[in-house]
Amino acid sequence: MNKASVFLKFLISACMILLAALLVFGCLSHVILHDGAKNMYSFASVKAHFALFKWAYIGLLGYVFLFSTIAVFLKKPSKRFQRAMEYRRGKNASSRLKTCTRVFVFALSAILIVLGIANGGLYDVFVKAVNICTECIGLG
Amino acid sequence: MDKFFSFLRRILPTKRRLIQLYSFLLYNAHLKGFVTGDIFTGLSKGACVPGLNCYSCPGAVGACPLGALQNALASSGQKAPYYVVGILMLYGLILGRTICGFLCPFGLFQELLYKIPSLKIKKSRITRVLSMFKYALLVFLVVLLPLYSAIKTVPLPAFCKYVCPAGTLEGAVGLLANPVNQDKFSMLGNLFSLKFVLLVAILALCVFAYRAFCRFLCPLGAIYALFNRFCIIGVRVDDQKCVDCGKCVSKCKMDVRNVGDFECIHCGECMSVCPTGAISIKAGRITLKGAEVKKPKKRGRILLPVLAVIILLISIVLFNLPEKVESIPENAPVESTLPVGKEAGMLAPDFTAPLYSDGGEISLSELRGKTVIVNFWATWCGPCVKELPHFEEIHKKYAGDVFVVALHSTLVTEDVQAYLDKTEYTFPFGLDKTGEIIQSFGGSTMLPQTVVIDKNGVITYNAVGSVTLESLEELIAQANQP
Repeated sequence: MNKASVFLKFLISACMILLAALLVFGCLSHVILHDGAKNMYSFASVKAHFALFKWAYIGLLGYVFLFSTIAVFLKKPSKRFQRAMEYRRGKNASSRLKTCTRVFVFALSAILIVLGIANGGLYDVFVKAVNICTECIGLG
Repeated sequence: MDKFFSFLRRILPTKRRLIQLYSFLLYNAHLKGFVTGDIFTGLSKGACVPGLNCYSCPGAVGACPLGALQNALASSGQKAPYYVVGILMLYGLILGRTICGFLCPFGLFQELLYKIPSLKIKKSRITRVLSMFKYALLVFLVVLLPLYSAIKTVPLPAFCKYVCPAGTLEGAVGLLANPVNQDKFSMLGNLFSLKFVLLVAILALCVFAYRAFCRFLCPLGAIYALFNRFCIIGVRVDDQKCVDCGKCVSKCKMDVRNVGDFECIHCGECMSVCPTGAISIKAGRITLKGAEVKKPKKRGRILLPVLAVIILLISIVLFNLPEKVESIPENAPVESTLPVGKEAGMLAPDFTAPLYSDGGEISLSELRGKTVIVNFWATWCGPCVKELPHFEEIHKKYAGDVFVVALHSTLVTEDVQAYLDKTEYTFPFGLDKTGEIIQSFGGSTMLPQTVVIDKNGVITYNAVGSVTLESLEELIAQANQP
């Protein structure tokens, strides 16, 4: 591996870690400042956070982009094959057993889908999917 | 010139990458949602997409299989989850973890992050052990907790709620990045902080470790892994040609012991290093990609991509057609000078709704002189069910002065009366039969929604999100102010 590419990788790794730390700091500062209360976020406070650290975010992302671009044009280091780890090789299922398993699973899945449509399972999936799941996206 | 072409070959997307991008666009064809800030509510949402794609994403046109499974298990007290289990089995049988390698948008995202040049964590025995963690998550968060919540009758999609980074990224960030959803910021709290920190940590890890979420945390990958050995489409090794050199395993960035085992995502990258051409991608007995596949004729090579692009364009057009705007019914008293509407300060539109308890009806205009709290809820909505006891307390404390009514969403998935018979609530429950009532108060696709109307019929509060007992007391005090 050449020194330049290693150095670049160190720099990019550091930038990514800093970026992640900044995002986490921004999020946790809301928790600490508001003592973990609900309604701790407001559009204004989030906007203020990004305004405060705008140049840090732009700078870090810019460095990552720049270093990545340089790394693409650098000569790729030669590949080395690693020695394969010693694992016990499992036996594959025989093709007949595989075919039987496939037929069984296919039949079972078809029956379950038909039963599911008949008992309203399809409609239930639709009902949940057309409403925003506030819990799933962290609201509330 | 040769150098230029070899450079192009290095940076141009591979066929697998193009398929991943295609599936991402197909799953999120509702591009209009990113502009309007709302989700797609068409019929295709009843179908589960194969990969991990949150259905709260503004662009999503299908349901997430993992979310659907958890919700189905959380409702398994009333209905067995046949449909979702059947769909997952079918996907697993046909594609197995080929879905992870080709059809998962979050997998694509992880691979793109890994492309950022940085220090990389190589696979080892430790990562192999860590890859078992996703099975533990599957059992505990996806199966056991939702089943337990079914007993408690408070639906809890535990993985979606506490862990899923796709929900945070596609759903939360996707919705909140739109200025139209600024008012939703007040709903952010500890849960969002937890999920956001988890999202950042996972994305950062994906830069250093190949497909970190896919390998260590994804329960959907764990489900499909169970079908990997006998799935129809996937990577196969010809035992007669294989010389057991181990180059395929060392080339693979996933934690495989053998090509095609539980951890294999059938990406086919091992094919390039096999010295004997023993590895190929097959669909049953048909070889899709491998040493012995003959190159199709020029016409055949162009037809399939053109067909795929046509399907994608048709989908984008169909899923972005303008929706019919339903007129909001206006039922203001003649003597009032205030406009009727859904915002605070406006007159609440009158409505009539059938009640569950005695078969009677409730009409808003007959409740003048009392503070009215209307809560829109549903049995399948966890946060809605959790806050019902607060309304019961308010009903008992302010009986006579405050009228509380909970209107169930028009989308009913079970016998609501039977559900209510198991509870001990004394305040009235009604049904928004046609969906017009919630439409007249804003028609949000989010539940719960609470509306507070003062004694003069003027709305003092109308917002989506859970409420606490304290906030309800404050809202009542606010509404009772002269």
